[in-house]
Amino acid sequence: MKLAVLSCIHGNYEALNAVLSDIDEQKADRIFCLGDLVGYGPHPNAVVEMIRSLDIPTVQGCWDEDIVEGLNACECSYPSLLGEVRGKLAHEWTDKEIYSETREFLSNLPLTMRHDNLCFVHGSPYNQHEYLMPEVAAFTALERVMSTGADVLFCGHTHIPYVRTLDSGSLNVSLKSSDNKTQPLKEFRSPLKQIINAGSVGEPRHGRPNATYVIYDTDTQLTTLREVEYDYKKTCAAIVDKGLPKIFAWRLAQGLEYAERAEDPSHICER
Amino acid sequence: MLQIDLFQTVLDPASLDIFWMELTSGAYGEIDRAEGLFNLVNGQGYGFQFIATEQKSEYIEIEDEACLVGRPDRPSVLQISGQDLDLDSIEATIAACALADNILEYHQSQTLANS
Repeated sequence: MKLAVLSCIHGNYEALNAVLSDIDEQKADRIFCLGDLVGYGPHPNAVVEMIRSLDIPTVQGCWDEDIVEGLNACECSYPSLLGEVRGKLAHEWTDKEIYSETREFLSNLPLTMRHDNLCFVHGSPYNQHEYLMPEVAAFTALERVMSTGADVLFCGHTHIPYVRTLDSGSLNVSLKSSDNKTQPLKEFRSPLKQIINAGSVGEPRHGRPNATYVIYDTDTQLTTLREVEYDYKKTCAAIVDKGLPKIFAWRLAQGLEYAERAEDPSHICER
Repeated sequence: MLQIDLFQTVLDPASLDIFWMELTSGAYGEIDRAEGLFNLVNGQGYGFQFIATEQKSEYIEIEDEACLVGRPDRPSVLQISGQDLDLDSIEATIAACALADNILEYHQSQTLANS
């Protein structure tokens, strides 16, 4: 079975349309979405409506949560004052723009989804806001996958697509009890695991404005990273027309995120 | 030439880094040359220079005493020459990079406590 997995659309309807057309051409059997349907981009309602009308199974992203629950910043959200100002502007704009049914849809999204030996999350299994960067320590990466009970963990949030294979390994744990006696060493063995990051449909940060997503073949376990061109100038024009900061349009055209985020792969989100 | 006076403005380094990249990459208009004397939160002053024909930025640390209490009174200014410069956006972005009094006081108290 061929699965298409997409993430981080961020209100970019043009990009979503182009990706859905590409998925058709690739003849994917099923589509999964890893959230962040809204935020920064000019068409949050249209994106949610498209995902809902196609009945695409979707997990809740950090932006989807923030629009429902309000902002609750951890330092990984805003590593700079400028990023914080821009993030809050985008949040305010999106909060005013979205319809009540859009908000309700976002509020009902699950945090994780399972399909056979696959697990789907936005950031990490613990938190929509936690970044699983490609260079995160192998121990942390393996622990995150093992915590789901799945063999393959699909995530987004970093906006950079990657596939990370974690070779079969073992974890040796020894606990010291309160009376200072060391318990016997316990060994956990893990077969080969994978983390597959789907990148970003609507807010890439790979230096080109093109949308990215992945195709995963469950029979061959082959992952294909797809990069899709679309008319990003239409999205840029809509950003300006709708009163979002002009700099968002410039950054989208350069293939930079609207606002930057923390690069520290060891940071554990404290939300 | 466009000139913005930044006297006693203290900037967040991560924000200034983003702004300078955007500025010199043409986000606010076509730049021929940009020069800045900036005060950063560590109390030091820094000189930035970009010349379009050379396509690179140079940075120097201004060698005077770090200002660790209050706002520095050394000169601080941004000068830009170029075409179709978006002054409003430049000013708004610089303002978003600047530390408010309470944040500056917090950083300075941390610096003094650790020194």
